[in-house]
Amino acid sequence: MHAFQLFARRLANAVGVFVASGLIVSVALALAPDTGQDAPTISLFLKYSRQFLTFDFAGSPALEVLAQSAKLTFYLVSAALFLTSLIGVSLGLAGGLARPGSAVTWVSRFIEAVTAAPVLIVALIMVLVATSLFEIMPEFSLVREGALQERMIAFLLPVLALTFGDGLLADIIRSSEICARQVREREFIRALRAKGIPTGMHYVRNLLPTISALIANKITLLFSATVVVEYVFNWKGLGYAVLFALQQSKDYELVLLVTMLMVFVVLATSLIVTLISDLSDPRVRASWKKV
Amino acid sequence: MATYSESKRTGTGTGRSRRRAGRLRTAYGACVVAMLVLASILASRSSDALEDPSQSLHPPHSRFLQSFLYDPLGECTFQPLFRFGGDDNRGEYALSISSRPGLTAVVGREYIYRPTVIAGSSRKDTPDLAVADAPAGFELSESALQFTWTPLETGRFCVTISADAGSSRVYQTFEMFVSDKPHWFGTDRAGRDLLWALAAGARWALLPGLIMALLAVGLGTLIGGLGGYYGGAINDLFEFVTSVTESIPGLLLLFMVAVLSNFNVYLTIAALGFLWLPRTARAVRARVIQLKSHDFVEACRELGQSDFDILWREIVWSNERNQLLSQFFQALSFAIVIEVTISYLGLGVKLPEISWGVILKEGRDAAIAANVYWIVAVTSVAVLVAVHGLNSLGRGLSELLGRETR
Repeated sequence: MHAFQLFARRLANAVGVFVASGLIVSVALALAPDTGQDAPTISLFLKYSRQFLTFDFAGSPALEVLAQSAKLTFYLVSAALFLTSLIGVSLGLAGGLARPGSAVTWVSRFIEAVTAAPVLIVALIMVLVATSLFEIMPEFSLVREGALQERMIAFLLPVLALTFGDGLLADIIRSSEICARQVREREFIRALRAKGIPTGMHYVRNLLPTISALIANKITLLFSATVVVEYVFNWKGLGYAVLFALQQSKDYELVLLVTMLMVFVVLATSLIVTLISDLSDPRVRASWKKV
Repeated sequence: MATYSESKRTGTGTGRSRRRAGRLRTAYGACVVAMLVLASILASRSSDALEDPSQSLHPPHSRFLQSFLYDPLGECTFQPLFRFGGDDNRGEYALSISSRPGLTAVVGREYIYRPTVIAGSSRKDTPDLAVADAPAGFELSESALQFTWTPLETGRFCVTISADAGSSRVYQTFEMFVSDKPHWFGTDRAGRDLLWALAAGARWALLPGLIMALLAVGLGTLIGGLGGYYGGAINDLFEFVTSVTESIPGLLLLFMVAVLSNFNVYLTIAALGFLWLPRTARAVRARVIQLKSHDFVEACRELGQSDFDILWREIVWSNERNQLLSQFFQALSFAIVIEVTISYLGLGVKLPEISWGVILKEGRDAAIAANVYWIVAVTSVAVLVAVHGLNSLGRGLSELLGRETR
């Protein structure tokens, strides 16, 4: 019963945070000068939050317009997350299992140092790579009609910028390295190894909650970075839409909508991650079964 | 023995080696900060007009930076190298000019270009050099091995030289940029000297960040200290507010502040302080909670010290000041990154004011439109050095002042 109560309390907290953040944003936008239309943003917020919380998105044209850019952002973020966790976990595992001072740990240290650079700088360096090395326009919308190779490069460069910027990769490498080292040092792992029983599952079980909690903590940073990367590469996603709305069209309804969408994703991720980490703990699983 | 080698590997080190590392980091960071301050003072005192359209997009005067240039032709018409009469069947090397010319010159100073010609096994071992098309004064020197030129006016000039080996001839065409003072890092599209623009942008990198770091670390220490010492409702409220602000992407919040404050950079960066504040507050609170049950706190209380003294002087000032210093410089470097980012996105500093973000924005457009790499490259290096220098300064100072190394 205990785990269930805990989850219910977290859910209630998430709903509270969602409502409060939406209120902050809508009050800010209501105060903003030169609003294009006299739309009451607070009532808009109430309408949207009802739709978000009931998953009922019918009858709002702004959402349908937004779906296209949300799809593009989803491609970008999911590809970057996949690449980050792949590189980070494999390097971290290799570094944690290798002897200290070996070549793998040096590679990890190097990548950690490189990926601490701000995402804007990494993205701009990718633009230089695109224009000088591959001689293409690094704008996905422009090369959509081009050759497959060009499209691949134009897709990969923003993803790489998002992967290597702002230090998320460094965090994943570091924490999976520490986690792998801790697991390796445990008594029962040594016993299993001595008996010749494979221990891979134990690494997965210990890494999964750590890494997913890290990603859930950092996903707001990833969204911030996405705005920058989309602007640099003219990637017509959510971040680009927000910047366009703030600077040119003064369409604050869209800003409110995008912010709430991002907050929703952040909170949902955080809830899912707590579920994962709960379920990967045998004690908590047992208490769920009792419910 | 094992402990010693382990500590060496993990970098915790002995007190002495940490002190040495701390001194190095502090010196490096102090140099970077001094450079930034000096640059912004120099740039603000000078009344030079930065813009000069006739000097648009000059490549860097530094030959090292020019060596990364992949298209020295500029706007000159391209003349493909050709040769006539050569016999490929005998395994001759093609006649070619392998050297890259310097592309910039300064009015009144002599310019020298000594081409390297690969002649292969042509009949003549030393090919004849000649000027095919060049501005007045660009001529072959008496030794017939190099070209000399003392430009008298600024502008862009097309130069074509040729090498003739009897049976074949090749041409090399390039664009020469002449300015009245050397632009070591090149210029941008409006003709601003990049070095000067970087110096002018240093002010925007430092000043708003200073305000933000003071605000974040000061308020964060206050909230964290009170929350840790007294606990209770102030903690819960602070935690809820923090979880709300942390679930909204920080840049989006800053965008809204920028719009609300009518794109006032100081206000926007000050708002960034509130996003940084929880980090300091949590660190201070954890430390205060850890220390407040120690014996020395009890001893101070017995001696009749007030709560104020115990909290701020005995706990925070004596134990936490090196961490706070390190946090301050980290916040400063974070503020630089955010200032550059929001100026790049067009929500911070705007032209005619110059900040590093504005330069990067121009550089990105120039890189795509005209294959100009130096603006982005040089400015990126400046941002990275500033950020790294400030972080190093914070880390070095906290290592020097830390309890365990003193």
